[in-house]
Amino acid sequence: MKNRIVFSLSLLAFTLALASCANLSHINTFATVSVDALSSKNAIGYSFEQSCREFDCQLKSSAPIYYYPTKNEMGTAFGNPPACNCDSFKNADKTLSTINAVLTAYLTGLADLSDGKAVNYNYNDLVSAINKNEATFKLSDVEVTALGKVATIVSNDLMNTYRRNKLKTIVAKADTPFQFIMAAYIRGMGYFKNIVLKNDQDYLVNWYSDYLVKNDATLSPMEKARIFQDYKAQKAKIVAYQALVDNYIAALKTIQAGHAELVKNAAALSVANAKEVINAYSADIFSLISEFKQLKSKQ
Amino acid sequence: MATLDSTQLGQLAQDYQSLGEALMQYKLDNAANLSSLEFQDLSGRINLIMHNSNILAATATYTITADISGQLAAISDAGNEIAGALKTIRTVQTVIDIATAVVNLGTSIISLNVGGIISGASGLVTAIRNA
Repeated sequence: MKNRIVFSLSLLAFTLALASCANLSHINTFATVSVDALSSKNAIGYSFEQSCREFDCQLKSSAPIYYYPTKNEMGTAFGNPPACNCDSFKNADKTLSTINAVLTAYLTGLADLSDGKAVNYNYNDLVSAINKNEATFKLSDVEVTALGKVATIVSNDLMNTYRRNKLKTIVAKADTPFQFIMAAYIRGMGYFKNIVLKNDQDYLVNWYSDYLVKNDATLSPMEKARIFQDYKAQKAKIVAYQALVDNYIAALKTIQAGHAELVKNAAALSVANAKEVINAYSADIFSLISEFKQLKSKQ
Repeated sequence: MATLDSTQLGQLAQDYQSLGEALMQYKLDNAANLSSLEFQDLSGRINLIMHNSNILAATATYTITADISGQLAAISDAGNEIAGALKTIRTVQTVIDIATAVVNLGTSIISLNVGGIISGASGLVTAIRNA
């Protein structure tokens, strides 16, 4: 009788082991590379506040970094130059950081929940504890070991199913706010790239051209060439930041689309073609991270 | 007073930026025809326009927080749900650990092994505390 129970349990365990295979590695990879991509925001190395300090604040500076017109020369024809107050810029950075932190926490959770290592219950101690006193439990070593294996497979399988179902529910429920937040994040990063970084370049054109016109009569051709080279070097820095932000926005868009795809395939989270689609998004994000690192290394 | 949302502020910032660029282009195209004073006056105005455009862009970004506060809360809730699921998964291992501790304690009690009872009981207490 006992043998029949053990055999039945072993058969059940084998069947479950074959049927379960809740392989969620594609979600784990997607969430992990997404977290990596989000973390590159800090590596851009330039922010709203830095732009304010380097450019807007220079409008009042008496010791400009570049060939700026002096404080007295700047804007004197029509009134006072703007005050150097970077509060709005700091708040903008804070907003982007908050969004980044919330998205990172959520995607890290997804990575943890879809991690194959999250479920690996170990009955070995329990089995050996029972084995130590087999007289008390009236089971042979072989029977206890078989029961331990069954328990391991059954509980791992149950929890894998639990994980898969939880992921489906959470991802589907989170997608609407996730899409909304990503869109807002991309919009905020877009303001930074298309307005602030563009204005920074225009500031440079404005200031250097002013300097050249104002000092045209006194500058030698060599000095003018040096000033032009200086302008080009300053501009190249901003252009490099623009490329990094561009790459970052592309990664955000891919994460956004990848998450939507997860929901679309929620009913078949472990089906091969759904995995293939999600893996393609992960590969794109991974390429963008590599590209980001290359751009950064050229800075 | 009506307030602008982040998209409207962003559009304003973009419009200001375009205006600054148009003025800049005019200044550069007409540099030869402008007096030094006119050139500098125009530069000052362009500086102010770009500065205002930057402030509008920063404000548009800052205002996003108000636009998405509900969504941020929803994603945080999803994060909490994930944490809860992970806790459930970990609890199963805890239950196994407690069962092991109970078996060890029971075994020691049956065999009247005093050292084993003490160590088994402390193992059980630890397992339960970690639950």
